[in-house]
Amino acid sequence: MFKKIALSAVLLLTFSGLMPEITPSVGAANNRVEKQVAQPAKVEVYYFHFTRRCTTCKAVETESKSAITSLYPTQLKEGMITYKSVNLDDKSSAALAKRCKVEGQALLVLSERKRVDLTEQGFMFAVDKPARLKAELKKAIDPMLSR
Amino acid sequence: MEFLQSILENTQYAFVSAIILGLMTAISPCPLATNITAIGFIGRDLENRRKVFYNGLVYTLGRTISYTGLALIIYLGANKMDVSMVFQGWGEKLLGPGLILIGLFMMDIIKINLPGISGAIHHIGEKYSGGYWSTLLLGILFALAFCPYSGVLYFVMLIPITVSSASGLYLPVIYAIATGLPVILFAWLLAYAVGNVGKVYHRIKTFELWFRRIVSIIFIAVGIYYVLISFGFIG
Repeated sequence: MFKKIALSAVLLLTFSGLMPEITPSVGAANNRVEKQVAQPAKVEVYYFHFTRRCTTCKAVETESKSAITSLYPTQLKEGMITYKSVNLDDKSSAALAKRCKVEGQALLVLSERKRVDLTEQGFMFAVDKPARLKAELKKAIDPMLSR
Repeated sequence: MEFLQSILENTQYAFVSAIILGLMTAISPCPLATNITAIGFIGRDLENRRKVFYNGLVYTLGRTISYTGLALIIYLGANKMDVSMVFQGWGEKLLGPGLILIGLFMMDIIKINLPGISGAIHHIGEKYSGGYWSTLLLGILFALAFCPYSGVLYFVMLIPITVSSASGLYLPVIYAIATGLPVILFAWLLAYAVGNVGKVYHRIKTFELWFRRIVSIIFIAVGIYYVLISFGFIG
Protein backbone atom coordinates (compact mmCIF):
# COMPACT_ATOMS: atom_id res chain seq x y z
CA MET A 1 0.00 0.00 0.00
CA PHE A 2 2.81 2.35 1.02
CA LYS A 3 4.63 1.48 -2.18
CA LYS A 4 1.55 2.35 -4.28
CA ILE A 5 1.10 5.69 -2.51
CA ALA A 6 4.77 6.54 -2.92
CA LEU A 7 4.70 5.60 -6.64
CA SER A 8 1.56 7.71 -7.19
CA ALA A 9 3.17 10.65 -5.43
CA VAL A 10 6.32 10.36 -7.54
CA LEU A 11 4.29 10.14 -10.77
CA LEU A 12 2.11 13.07 -9.75
CA LEU A 13 5.10 15.21 -8.86
CA THR A 14 6.89 14.27 -12.06
CA PHE A 15 3.97 15.09 -14.39
CA SER A 16 2.93 18.18 -12.49
CA GLY A 17 6.50 19.44 -12.90
CA LEU A 18 6.63 18.62 -16.59
CA MET A 19 3.18 19.73 -17.71
CA PRO A 20 3.75 23.48 -17.43
CA GLU A 21 6.87 23.06 -19.56
CA ILE A 22 5.25 20.96 -22.23
CA THR A 23 2.22 23.15 -22.74
CA PRO A 24 4.02 26.43 -23.51
CA SER A 25 6.60 24.74 -25.71
CA VAL A 26 3.89 23.23 -27.92
CA GLY A 27 2.26 26.63 -28.04
CA ALA A 28 5.54 28.23 -29.02
CA ALA A 29 6.00 25.71 -31.80
CA ASN A 30 2.53 26.52 -33.10
CA ASN A 31 3.37 30.19 -32.97
CA ARG A 32 6.53 29.56 -34.96
CA VAL A 33 4.56 27.70 -37.62
CA GLU A 34 2.05 30.53 -37.78
CA LYS A 35 4.83 33.03 -38.11
CA GLN A 36 6.40 31.00 -40.94
CA VAL A 37 3.10 30.94 -42.81
CA ALA A 38 2.56 34.63 -42.28
CA GLN A 39 6.12 35.53 -43.28
CA PRO A 40 7.55 33.42 -46.10
CA ALA A 41 11.32 33.00 -46.38
CA LYS A 42 13.18 36.00 -47.71
CA VAL A 43 14.46 35.61 -51.25
CA GLU A 44 17.72 37.18 -52.37
CA VAL A 45 18.57 37.56 -56.03
CA TYR A 46 22.21 38.31 -56.85
CA TYR A 47 23.93 39.12 -60.09
CA PHE A 48 27.70 38.81 -59.65
CA HIS A 49 29.94 40.35 -62.28
CA PHE A 50 33.40 41.76 -62.89
CA THR A 51 34.14 45.40 -63.69
CA ARG A 52 34.53 44.53 -67.34
CA ARG A 53 31.26 43.30 -68.78
CA CYS A 54 30.20 42.08 -72.19
CA THR A 55 26.94 43.04 -73.90
CA THR A 56 25.30 39.78 -72.80
CA CYS A 57 26.54 40.30 -69.24
CA LYS A 58 24.87 43.71 -69.11
CA ALA A 59 21.69 42.24 -70.57
CA VAL A 60 21.64 39.57 -67.84
CA GLU A 61 21.55 42.30 -65.21
CA THR A 62 19.04 44.53 -67.00
CA GLU A 63 16.62 41.73 -67.88
CA SER A 64 16.76 39.90 -64.56
CA LYS A 65 16.27 43.14 -62.65
CA SER A 66 13.35 44.18 -64.83
CA ALA A 67 11.79 40.69 -64.51
CA ILE A 68 11.97 40.80 -60.71
CA THR A 69 10.58 44.33 -60.63
CA SER A 70 7.61 43.45 -62.81
CA LEU A 71 6.90 40.04 -61.24
CA TYR A 72 7.22 40.92 -57.56
CA PRO A 73 6.64 44.65 -57.01
CA THR A 74 4.94 44.17 -53.63
CA GLN A 75 7.49 41.72 -52.29
CA LEU A 76 10.27 44.05 -53.35
CA LYS A 77 8.64 46.94 -51.48
CA GLU A 78 8.14 44.81 -48.39
CA GLY A 79 11.72 43.59 -48.53
CA MET A 80 10.71 39.96 -49.01
CA ILE A 81 12.72 39.92 -52.22
CA THR A 82 15.97 41.77 -52.69
CA TYR A 83 17.96 42.25 -55.87
CA LYS A 84 21.64 43.10 -55.72
CA SER A 85 24.24 43.56 -58.38
CA VAL A 86 27.69 42.78 -56.98
CA ASN A 87 31.06 43.63 -58.51
CA LEU A 88 33.52 40.80 -57.83
CA ASP A 89 36.45 43.14 -58.43
CA ASP A 90 35.48 45.06 -55.29
CA LYS A 91 37.35 43.56 -52.37
CA SER A 92 34.36 44.22 -50.13
CA SER A 93 32.35 41.67 -52.11
CA ALA A 94 34.68 38.76 -51.24
CA ALA A 95 32.78 37.62 -48.13
CA LEU A 96 29.42 37.66 -49.91
CA ALA A 97 30.88 35.83 -52.92
CA LYS A 98 32.25 33.16 -50.61
CA ARG A 99 28.94 32.81 -48.78
CA CYS A 100 27.10 32.43 -52.09
CA LYS A 101 29.77 30.02 -53.43
CA VAL A 102 30.28 32.14 -56.51
CA GLU A 103 32.73 30.94 -59.17
CA GLY A 104 32.68 33.97 -61.41
CA GLN A 105 29.84 35.77 -63.09
CA ALA A 106 26.60 34.39 -61.70
CA LEU A 107 22.87 34.94 -61.44
CA LEU A 108 21.71 33.36 -58.20
CA VAL A 109 18.42 33.04 -56.37
CA LEU A 110 18.84 32.26 -52.68
CA SER A 111 16.48 31.56 -49.86
CA GLU A 112 17.21 30.33 -46.37
CA ARG A 113 17.68 26.75 -47.50
CA LYS A 114 17.75 26.78 -51.27
CA ARG A 115 20.21 28.01 -53.86
CA VAL A 116 19.23 28.16 -57.52
CA ASP A 117 21.94 29.00 -60.05
CA LEU A 118 20.42 30.65 -63.13
CA THR A 119 23.70 31.79 -64.68
CA GLU A 120 23.37 29.48 -67.67
CA GLN A 121 19.77 30.51 -68.33
CA GLY A 122 20.70 34.15 -67.84
CA PHE A 123 23.40 34.06 -70.49
CA MET A 124 21.33 31.92 -72.83
CA PHE A 125 18.15 33.98 -72.78
CA ALA A 126 18.89 37.55 -71.66
CA VAL A 127 19.59 38.94 -75.12
CA ASP A 128 17.25 37.05 -77.44
CA LYS A 129 14.59 35.56 -75.16
CA PRO A 130 14.15 37.72 -72.06
CA ALA A 131 10.66 36.24 -71.51
CA ARG A 132 12.29 32.82 -71.00
CA LEU A 133 14.63 34.27 -68.40
CA LYS A 134 11.66 35.87 -66.65
CA ALA A 135 9.88 32.49 -66.60
CA GLU A 136 12.98 30.77 -65.18
CA LEU A 137 13.22 33.37 -62.42
CA LYS A 138 9.54 32.92 -61.60
CA LYS A 139 9.97 29.15 -61.53
CA ALA A 140 12.79 29.49 -59.03
CA ILE A 141 11.30 32.21 -56.81
CA ASP A 142 7.61 31.20 -56.52
CA PRO A 143 8.21 27.96 -54.56
CA MET A 144 10.55 29.83 -52.22
CA LEU A 145 7.90 32.43 -51.48
CA SER A 146 5.15 29.89 -50.91
CA ARG A 147 7.16 27.94 -48.34
CA MET B 1 24.03 33.02 -82.34
CA GLU B 2 20.32 32.40 -81.81
CA PHE B 3 20.50 29.40 -84.13
CA LEU B 4 23.38 27.92 -82.13
CA GLN B 5 21.53 28.55 -78.88
CA SER B 6 18.46 26.70 -80.10
CA ILE B 7 20.60 23.67 -80.99
CA LEU B 8 22.26 23.86 -77.57
CA GLU B 9 18.88 23.92 -75.84
CA ASN B 10 17.49 20.96 -77.71
CA THR B 11 20.43 18.62 -77.94
CA GLN B 12 20.65 15.51 -75.81
CA TYR B 13 24.28 14.83 -76.64
CA ALA B 14 27.16 16.25 -74.64
CA PHE B 15 29.52 16.32 -77.63
CA VAL B 16 27.04 18.43 -79.63
CA SER B 17 26.83 20.84 -76.68
CA ALA B 18 30.64 21.04 -76.64
CA ILE B 19 30.75 21.83 -80.39
CA ILE B 20 28.07 24.51 -80.10
CA LEU B 21 29.67 26.08 -77.01
CA GLY B 22 33.00 26.13 -78.88
CA LEU B 23 31.45 27.81 -81.92
CA MET B 24 29.65 30.33 -79.71
CA THR B 25 33.00 31.08 -78.06
CA ALA B 26 34.77 31.41 -81.41
CA ILE B 27 32.36 34.01 -82.78
CA SER B 28 31.91 36.02 -79.60
CA PRO B 29 33.75 39.38 -79.81
CA CYS B 30 36.71 38.69 -77.54
CA PRO B 31 37.92 35.32 -78.82
CA LEU B 32 37.17 36.52 -82.34
CA ALA B 33 39.76 39.27 -81.85
CA THR B 34 42.35 36.76 -80.64
CA ASN B 35 41.51 34.41 -83.51
CA ILE B 36 41.97 37.20 -86.05
CA THR B 37 45.33 37.98 -84.44
CA ALA B 38 46.22 34.29 -84.63
CA ILE B 39 45.27 34.14 -88.32
CA GLY B 40 47.60 37.07 -88.99
CA PHE B 41 50.34 35.34 -87.02
CA ILE B 42 50.13 31.95 -88.68
CA GLY B 43 49.65 33.47 -92.12
CA ARG B 44 53.05 35.16 -92.01
CA ASP B 45 54.73 32.31 -93.87
CA LEU B 46 52.68 32.49 -97.01
CA GLU B 47 55.46 30.99 -99.12
CA ASN B 48 55.10 27.73 -97.23
CA ARG B 49 51.51 26.62 -97.82
CA ARG B 50 51.63 23.42 -95.86
CA LYS B 51 53.17 25.16 -92.89
CA VAL B 52 50.39 27.79 -92.79
CA PHE B 53 47.78 25.05 -92.59
CA TYR B 54 49.72 23.04 -90.03
CA ASN B 55 50.14 26.18 -87.97
CA GLY B 56 46.36 26.50 -87.85
CA LEU B 57 46.16 22.98 -86.48
CA VAL B 58 48.99 23.56 -84.00
CA TYR B 59 47.31 26.74 -82.75
CA THR B 60 44.13 24.72 -82.11
CA LEU B 61 46.24 22.07 -80.37
CA GLY B 62 47.52 24.83 -78.07
CA ARG B 63 43.95 25.79 -77.22
CA THR B 64 43.15 22.12 -76.62
CA ILE B 65 46.03 21.81 -74.15
CA SER B 66 44.74 24.78 -72.14
CA TYR B 67 41.07 23.83 -72.04
CA THR B 68 41.73 20.15 -71.32
CA GLY B 69 44.43 20.99 -68.77
CA LEU B 70 42.11 23.29 -66.85
CA ALA B 71 39.30 20.73 -66.92
CA LEU B 72 41.71 18.05 -65.70
CA ILE B 73 42.93 20.23 -62.84
CA ILE B 74 39.32 20.80 -61.74
CA TYR B 75 38.44 17.12 -62.24
CA LEU B 76 41.40 16.08 -60.08
CA GLY B 77 40.13 18.18 -57.22
CA ALA B 78 41.30 21.77 -57.65
CA ASN B 79 38.78 24.24 -56.33
CA LYS B 80 36.68 25.21 -59.33
CA MET B 81 35.82 28.49 -57.64
CA ASP B 82 39.49 29.49 -57.30
CA VAL B 83 40.47 28.41 -60.82
CA SER B 84 37.46 30.11 -62.36
CA MET B 85 37.92 33.35 -60.41
CA VAL B 86 41.63 33.61 -61.31
CA PHE B 87 41.16 33.05 -65.03
CA GLN B 88 37.91 34.99 -65.42
CA GLY B 89 39.28 37.85 -63.36
CA TRP B 90 42.82 38.05 -64.75
CA GLY B 91 43.01 36.29 -68.13
CA GLU B 92 41.77 39.21 -70.14
CA LYS B 93 43.68 41.82 -68.13
CA LEU B 94 46.99 40.10 -68.82
CA LEU B 95 46.23 39.40 -72.46
CA GLY B 96 46.36 43.05 -73.59
CA PRO B 97 49.83 43.87 -72.24
CA GLY B 98 51.00 40.43 -73.44
CA LEU B 99 49.86 41.08 -77.01
CA ILE B 100 51.49 44.51 -77.02
CA LEU B 101 54.76 42.99 -75.81
CA ILE B 102 54.64 40.25 -78.45
CA GLY B 103 53.95 42.89 -81.13
CA LEU B 104 56.86 44.99 -79.95
CA PHE B 105 59.17 41.97 -79.98
CA MET B 106 57.99 41.09 -83.49
CA MET B 107 58.78 44.61 -84.65
CA ASP B 108 62.19 44.38 -83.02
CA ILE B 109 61.43 47.45 -80.96
CA ILE B 110 62.24 45.45 -77.82
CA LYS B 111 65.44 43.49 -78.15
CA ILE B 112 66.39 42.74 -74.57
CA ASN B 113 66.53 39.08 -73.71
CA LEU B 114 65.11 38.53 -70.26
CA PRO B 115 64.67 35.10 -68.71
CA GLY B 116 61.31 33.64 -67.70
CA ILE B 117 58.09 35.13 -69.01
CA SER B 118 59.67 37.64 -71.32
CA GLY B 119 61.67 34.76 -72.77
CA ALA B 120 58.40 33.02 -73.66
CA ILE B 121 56.98 36.24 -75.10
CA HIS B 122 60.15 36.68 -77.12
CA HIS B 123 59.76 33.14 -78.35
CA ILE B 124 56.23 33.88 -79.60
CA GLY B 125 57.35 37.14 -81.14
CA GLU B 126 60.34 35.64 -82.88
CA LYS B 127 61.03 37.04 -86.30
CA TYR B 128 61.66 33.77 -87.98
CA SER B 129 59.21 30.97 -88.10
CA GLY B 130 61.66 28.32 -86.96
CA GLY B 131 59.18 25.84 -85.54
CA TYR B 132 55.66 25.36 -84.40
CA TRP B 133 56.37 26.11 -80.75
CA SER B 134 55.54 29.79 -81.01
CA THR B 135 52.15 29.01 -82.55
CA LEU B 136 51.47 26.33 -79.92
CA LEU B 137 52.33 28.78 -77.15
CA LEU B 138 50.07 31.40 -78.72
CA GLY B 139 47.15 28.94 -78.75
CA ILE B 140 47.78 28.05 -75.10
CA LEU B 141 47.93 31.72 -74.01
CA PHE B 142 44.94 32.89 -76.06
CA ALA B 143 42.74 30.11 -74.69
CA LEU B 144 43.60 31.06 -71.12
CA ALA B 145 42.54 34.65 -71.68
CA PHE B 146 38.90 34.23 -70.72
CA CYS B 147 36.58 37.09 -71.53
CA PRO B 148 33.36 37.63 -69.54
CA TYR B 149 31.24 35.74 -72.08
CA SER B 150 33.66 32.96 -72.99
CA GLY B 151 34.35 32.46 -69.27
CA VAL B 152 30.69 31.69 -68.68
CA LEU B 153 30.51 29.36 -71.69
CA TYR B 154 33.52 27.39 -70.46
CA PHE B 155 33.25 27.44 -66.66
CA VAL B 156 29.46 27.52 -66.25
CA MET B 157 28.29 25.44 -69.21
CA LEU B 158 31.12 23.16 -70.39
CA ILE B 159 32.96 22.30 -67.16
CA PRO B 160 29.93 20.87 -65.28
CA ILE B 161 29.21 18.33 -68.06
CA THR B 162 32.95 17.62 -68.38
CA VAL B 163 33.88 16.92 -64.78
CA SER B 164 30.72 15.06 -63.84
CA SER B 165 32.44 11.83 -64.90
CA ALA B 166 35.78 10.70 -66.34
CA SER B 167 34.04 9.91 -69.62
CA GLY B 168 33.33 13.62 -70.08
CA LEU B 169 36.99 14.62 -70.19
CA TYR B 170 37.07 14.42 -74.00
CA LEU B 171 34.59 17.32 -74.24
CA PRO B 172 37.15 20.15 -73.82
CA VAL B 173 39.04 18.69 -76.80
CA ILE B 174 35.92 19.00 -78.98
CA TYR B 175 35.21 22.44 -77.52
CA ALA B 176 38.78 23.58 -78.28
CA ILE B 177 38.63 22.33 -81.88
CA ALA B 178 35.37 24.24 -82.35
CA THR B 179 36.89 27.43 -80.89
CA GLY B 180 39.85 27.09 -83.27
CA LEU B 181 37.71 26.17 -86.27
CA PRO B 182 37.70 29.68 -87.82
CA VAL B 183 41.49 29.73 -87.59
CA ILE B 184 41.79 26.28 -89.17
CA LEU B 185 39.44 27.36 -91.97
CA PHE B 186 41.31 30.59 -92.65
CA ALA B 187 44.64 28.77 -92.46
CA TRP B 188 43.37 26.34 -95.06
CA LEU B 189 42.12 29.21 -97.25
CA LEU B 190 45.41 31.09 -96.87
CA ALA B 191 47.37 27.95 -97.61
CA TYR B 192 45.50 26.63 -100.59
CA ALA B 193 43.52 29.55 -102.01
CA VAL B 194 45.72 32.58 -101.33
CA GLY B 195 48.95 30.59 -101.39
CA ASN B 196 49.54 31.35 -105.06
CA VAL B 197 49.31 35.07 -104.39
CA GLY B 198 51.91 34.52 -101.69
CA LYS B 199 54.23 32.94 -104.21
CA VAL B 200 54.01 36.02 -106.39
CA TYR B 201 54.67 38.27 -103.48
CA HIS B 202 57.48 36.03 -102.31
CA ARG B 203 59.59 37.35 -105.17
CA ILE B 204 59.36 40.79 -103.70
CA LYS B 205 61.72 40.60 -100.76
CA THR B 206 60.19 43.47 -98.91
CA PHE B 207 56.76 41.85 -98.78
CA GLU B 208 57.64 39.47 -95.98
CA LEU B 209 59.08 42.26 -93.91
CA TRP B 210 56.00 44.40 -94.40
CA PHE B 211 53.64 41.51 -93.76
CA ARG B 212 55.36 40.85 -90.41
CA ARG B 213 55.12 44.51 -89.59
CA ILE B 214 51.39 44.46 -90.33
CA VAL B 215 50.97 41.38 -88.12
CA SER B 216 52.95 43.14 -85.38
CA ILE B 217 50.68 46.16 -85.69
CA ILE B 218 47.62 43.85 -85.44
CA PHE B 219 49.08 42.41 -82.22
CA ILE B 220 49.70 45.86 -80.76
CA ALA B 221 46.29 47.18 -81.87
CA VAL B 222 44.40 44.17 -80.47
CA GLY B 223 46.54 44.43 -77.32
CA ILE B 224 45.58 48.09 -76.89
CA TYR B 225 41.93 47.14 -77.50
CA TYR B 226 42.13 44.56 -74.71
CA VAL B 227 43.84 46.98 -72.34
CA LEU B 228 41.12 49.56 -73.02
CA ILE B 229 38.21 47.16 -72.52
CA SER B 230 39.61 45.19 -69.60
CA PHE B 231 40.52 48.30 -67.62
CA GLY B 232 37.18 49.94 -68.34
CA PHE B 233 38.29 52.73 -70.69
CA ILE B 234 35.76 51.59 -73.29
CA GLY B 235 32.59 49.51 -72.84
